[in-house]
Amino acid sequence: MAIPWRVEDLDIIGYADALDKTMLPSIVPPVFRVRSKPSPHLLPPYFFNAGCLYNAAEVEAQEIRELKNREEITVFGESFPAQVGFELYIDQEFQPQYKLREIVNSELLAIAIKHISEAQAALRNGSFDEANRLAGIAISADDRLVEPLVIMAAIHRANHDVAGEQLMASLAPYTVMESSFQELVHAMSRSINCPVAFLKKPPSSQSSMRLMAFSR
Amino acid sequence: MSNSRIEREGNLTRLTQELVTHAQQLGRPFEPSPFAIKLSEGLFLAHSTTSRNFAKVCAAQRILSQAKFATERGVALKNCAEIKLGTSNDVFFYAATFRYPATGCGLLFASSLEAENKEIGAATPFDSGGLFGHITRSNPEETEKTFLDKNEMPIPEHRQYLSQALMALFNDPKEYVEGVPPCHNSPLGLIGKDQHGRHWTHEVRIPENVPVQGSPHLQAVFAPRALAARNPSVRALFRHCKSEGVDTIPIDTPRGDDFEELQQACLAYIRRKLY
Repeated sequence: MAIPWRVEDLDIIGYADALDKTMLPSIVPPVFRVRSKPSPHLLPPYFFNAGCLYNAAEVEAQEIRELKNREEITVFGESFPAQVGFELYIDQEFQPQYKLREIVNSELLAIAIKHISEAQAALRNGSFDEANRLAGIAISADDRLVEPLVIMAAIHRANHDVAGEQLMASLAPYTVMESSFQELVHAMSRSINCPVAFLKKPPSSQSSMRLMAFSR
Repeated sequence: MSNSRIEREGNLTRLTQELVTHAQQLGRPFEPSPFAIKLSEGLFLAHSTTSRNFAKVCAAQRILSQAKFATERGVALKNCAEIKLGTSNDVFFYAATFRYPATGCGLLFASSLEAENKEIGAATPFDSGGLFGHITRSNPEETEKTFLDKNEMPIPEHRQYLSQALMALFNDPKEYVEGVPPCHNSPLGLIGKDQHGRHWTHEVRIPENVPVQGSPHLQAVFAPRALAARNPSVRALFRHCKSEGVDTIPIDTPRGDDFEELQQACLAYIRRKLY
């Protein structure tokens, strides 16, 4: 394995993705530059351990320009120092947020919960497009939560879109059993302001499961 | 492609002979084992990209060459590796896992895609773009373009060469898939500057574009679950795949200490399918 890089010797110049507004907010992998020299720049795949960055792909400045031109990476206007235990996410205004992981997780979870709540309200009012949009923001903020997928599945169910509902079930984290997902969708569907005849029966009678139970 | 298929076949004959001679000098086997043949024939073609570009691929229902992609963005490719090598009109794959850096979404195609494109496609036993800045050659006086032309092989026949290379250069054929560097350098004399295998991973190029949705060769689609749930084009591809029996692999957004999610998911998939 190649020599690891000390995180405290690195600057962050951007992130290794190109995102649209509809993909935000999202945690992103930083593009690093070794602070003391013009090259190399460091790209994922990589991992961190004990304050060091391992296994990064090393590229020269010229290639960074090429990758930027191809929209394969995004480069910030100004670089900033990398710090151990920090996480980078891009907020809904395309602004980089680089903070302690615990703070980032907490902020993104708060964004997700707020938008889940608003999506549920929109769903109850029959505003499916708005509910879908809000659930989308929630899942971008934290894709470990199952609730946004449940909301999207309930919308598909209300639209008689079986394939769409099944797709949402298949996207659920592996920790969620399909039968549990179905029950959550049924519970969500019962709150929708539309004729009951549109809604399917759940596979079993246990429907009192708390939605947030699957949050890690 | 600057070489004709006949020229690529000539290259394959010469490269195979050089590999056999190299193996004999090293005292290594070169006759492929049944597993090496199975692996080299079955290895999927991997193409990976960023979230936005992946959404564009899904919307277009095909992978476009770098040149076409640039035209669609209203920009011109300038001074990049593909322009210098004359490969900007090609779509790129690895006959391996997703190894291209800085990508979070990917498509795997069955090896049958090569047979369908055997007259127009080409392969090299290295990443051609890596010739610029990532791979050191024994003769730096030779241009990258000349080196590429000399080492282009026909598809799918390059897999015969791969099956022999798996025996001659690696301790175990699986190591090629797992990303473990070969225990011996190839007779091409290439040295990699990092550990991402650009100097020994087989690259396959197919001109112009490669259909995705509706392609009988599409094997599996990998994307972050948020993108698959939220982006209409990605969601449409996932739906199509489910209806056609193509595998869909939602992955977690990489976070914390680990930003290798796509590569690990791909590796796990290949282990399940080919080992």
